[in-house]
Amino acid sequence: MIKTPYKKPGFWQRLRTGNLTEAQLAVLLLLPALLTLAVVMLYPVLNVLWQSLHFERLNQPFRGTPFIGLENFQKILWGQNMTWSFTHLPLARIIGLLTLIPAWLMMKRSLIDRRSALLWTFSIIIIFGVLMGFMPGEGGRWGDARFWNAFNVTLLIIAVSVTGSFMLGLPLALLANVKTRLKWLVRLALLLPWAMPRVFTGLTFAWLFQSDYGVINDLLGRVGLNRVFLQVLPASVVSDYGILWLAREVPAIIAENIAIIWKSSSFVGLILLAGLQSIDKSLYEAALVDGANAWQRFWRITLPLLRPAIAVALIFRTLTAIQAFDIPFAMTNGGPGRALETLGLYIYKTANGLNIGYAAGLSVALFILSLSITVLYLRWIYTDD
Amino acid sequence: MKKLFLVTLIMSFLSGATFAQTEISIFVGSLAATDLLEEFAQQYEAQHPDVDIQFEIGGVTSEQQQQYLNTVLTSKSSEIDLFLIDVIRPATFAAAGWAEPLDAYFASEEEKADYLAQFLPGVVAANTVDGQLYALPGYTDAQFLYYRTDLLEKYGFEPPTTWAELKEQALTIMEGENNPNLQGFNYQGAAIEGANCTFLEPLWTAGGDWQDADGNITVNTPEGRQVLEWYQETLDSGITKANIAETGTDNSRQEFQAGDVIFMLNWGYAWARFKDDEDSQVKGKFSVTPLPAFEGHESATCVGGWQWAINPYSEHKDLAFAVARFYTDVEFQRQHAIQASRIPVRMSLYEDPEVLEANPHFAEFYDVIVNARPRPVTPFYSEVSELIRTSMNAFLAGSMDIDETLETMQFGLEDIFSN
Repeated sequence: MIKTPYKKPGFWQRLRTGNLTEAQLAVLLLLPALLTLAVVMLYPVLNVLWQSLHFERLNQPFRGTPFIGLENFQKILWGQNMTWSFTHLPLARIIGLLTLIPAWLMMKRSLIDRRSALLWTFSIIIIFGVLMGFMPGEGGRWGDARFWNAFNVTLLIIAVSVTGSFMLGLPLALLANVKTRLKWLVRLALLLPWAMPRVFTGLTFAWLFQSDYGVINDLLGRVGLNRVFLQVLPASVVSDYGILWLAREVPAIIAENIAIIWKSSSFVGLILLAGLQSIDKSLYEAALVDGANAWQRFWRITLPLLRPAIAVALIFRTLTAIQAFDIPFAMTNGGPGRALETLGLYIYKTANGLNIGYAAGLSVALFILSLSITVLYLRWIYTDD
Repeated sequence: MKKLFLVTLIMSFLSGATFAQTEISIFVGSLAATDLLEEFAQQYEAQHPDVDIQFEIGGVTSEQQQQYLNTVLTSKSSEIDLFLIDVIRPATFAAAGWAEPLDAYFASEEEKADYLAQFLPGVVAANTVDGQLYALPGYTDAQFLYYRTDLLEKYGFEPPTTWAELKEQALTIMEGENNPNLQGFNYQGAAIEGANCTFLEPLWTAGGDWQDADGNITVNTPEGRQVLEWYQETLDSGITKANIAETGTDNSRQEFQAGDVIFMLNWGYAWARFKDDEDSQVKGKFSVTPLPAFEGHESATCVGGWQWAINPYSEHKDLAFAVARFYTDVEFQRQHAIQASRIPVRMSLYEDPEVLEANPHFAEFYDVIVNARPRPVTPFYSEVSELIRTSMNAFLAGSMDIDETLETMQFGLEDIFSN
């Protein structure tokens, strides 16, 4: 009698008999979602990467779409004429950029506390941006000055609006977590800005901040603040009817950040509220017994246990802030002039000028920026204490 | 209901089988006078039973329609045969190969010249790229200097012919009226398409232009400086409000309509709003005049409007051309002016009694419209436009001074044309 050697059942046989291993079942169930994602996400992403290596201008189809390697990125970093750029490189910038290297190495070797890696990265990116954007070299022709300006505006929006929405979102979450009869009101206030479309928010705030017939200047005028502003603020940003919110650079960036914070702090609040509700009540009771006051309870219990929720909220907020487009678009469209263009707006305007190749290059640059910030965030979250 | 649908379906199949009809598909924006276009399409179909004209209605703004046409034309689709495009686009379409060159569709050079001589020269110029015609005129528009007849009369002024005169009149009236809401001079300072005209119009009235005959950029010139110095003066003297950098086309219209403005630059559409809107505070108290010029120079203004272009990938280009020409004929143009209040492209209609009876203001428009000039005719229009209007906006917002603004525009334009 010939013994048939034992053969491990193959995939198809297991599928037929309904006897799949857990891993196989998992792959099978994930497959439709993965395929859909590949078609609607992966393909466009790869396509943009491919386009960023090409020249493509829809208003000059006769020039075709030749492969140009990294020329789009060279234009961003050094400008059209590399030799010219390097011979005109400002000394201050060379020194500034060189000092970044040891800083980067120190961070990489974890000579600095890993938890502060985040802070370091941000400072390196900001110093880099300032060197590239605010020192545009001779006649502003070094590199793509417009890109570096947009880079700095985007970083500014990240820094101000992420911090702002956290500072406002945390008290909102704490308030919503208190058991009062008005809890529903606070929760409604939390949900409403979040549910509003962002362009709609932008348009609403654009009307509120309108200088001569907007509500905000009217209210400020009624309490007599406009007269104070006329005395205190520089003459270029105020007029008889108040601060020229959207018609001047500095007031406009403040107004935009206020709108973004108003819109996004409720999102932060919601995530933190979920985090708060998962904290064990018995910890507070124990602390009370030990005689800890409210501040100590908040500082020693709430905040440390809230850290995972804070991290999630901050990551999502930062990612949406990097891509800031809708609210700045609706409020000033990057104005006055091009002063407050974010990276998202610059990409949009370039693509609208039918320069598809360069717009793809800019998109890849934005992608690299958001990827590096996310990676560092993740490092920060998964750091063991 | 279902039965009715089925019957219609069968009928349409049958009718398709009996006459071999050629279908022409026309794309227009939703603000075009679609009812009238369809009414005349039926007339055309009655004369030519073998033709079936279909309409496809697009978005409201020029940009929305452009995005749709971008998609259709990059995919070389023959779905649409004929379309209306904004006056700023023919050069881009010509360069991209998105508009059929039309010279060959005329019997001879003379026929083309005779035909075009009937239209406003500014519109023909906007449709001509390197001597080749790429689009037929649809209807036109221009920027006018709107002014308050009641206020000018009260202070004994004639409409200004120079910018300096405008400033003097505005200052006198503002002082005399003593109304803190009254603005002397309002124009478009926001970074919108119209802000290109805010820069170009005074430049032309200073005898300058953005480019010389050899194609060199001529923005950073004494004429360019004169323009920005003039705008600086409007802000410094207080005839223009400090937040003019926020003001778009319709903001200007609303402020004038509320009775708060003495002089304003704006397009033809505002006239009907001032005359007909219930909330209009300026009914019977306004008129238009050609734009002022700098001492010793001619008045000029920006041309607007829409043009008929033919899809080069269309399978019925001859027929599409015939239909487009039909819409430029006197009869359609007359009804277009009477029923839809569109400013005609045919010069003869400005003396047409029927047209003038329906729109008496066209007589006043004519003097302005014959001086209307096209914005830069270039395939890079969208980049040129973005640069000029954002620079102008930054200047009016005080972000850049005169030197910086001129350098930014000069260098930026050179950069666009060197790629």
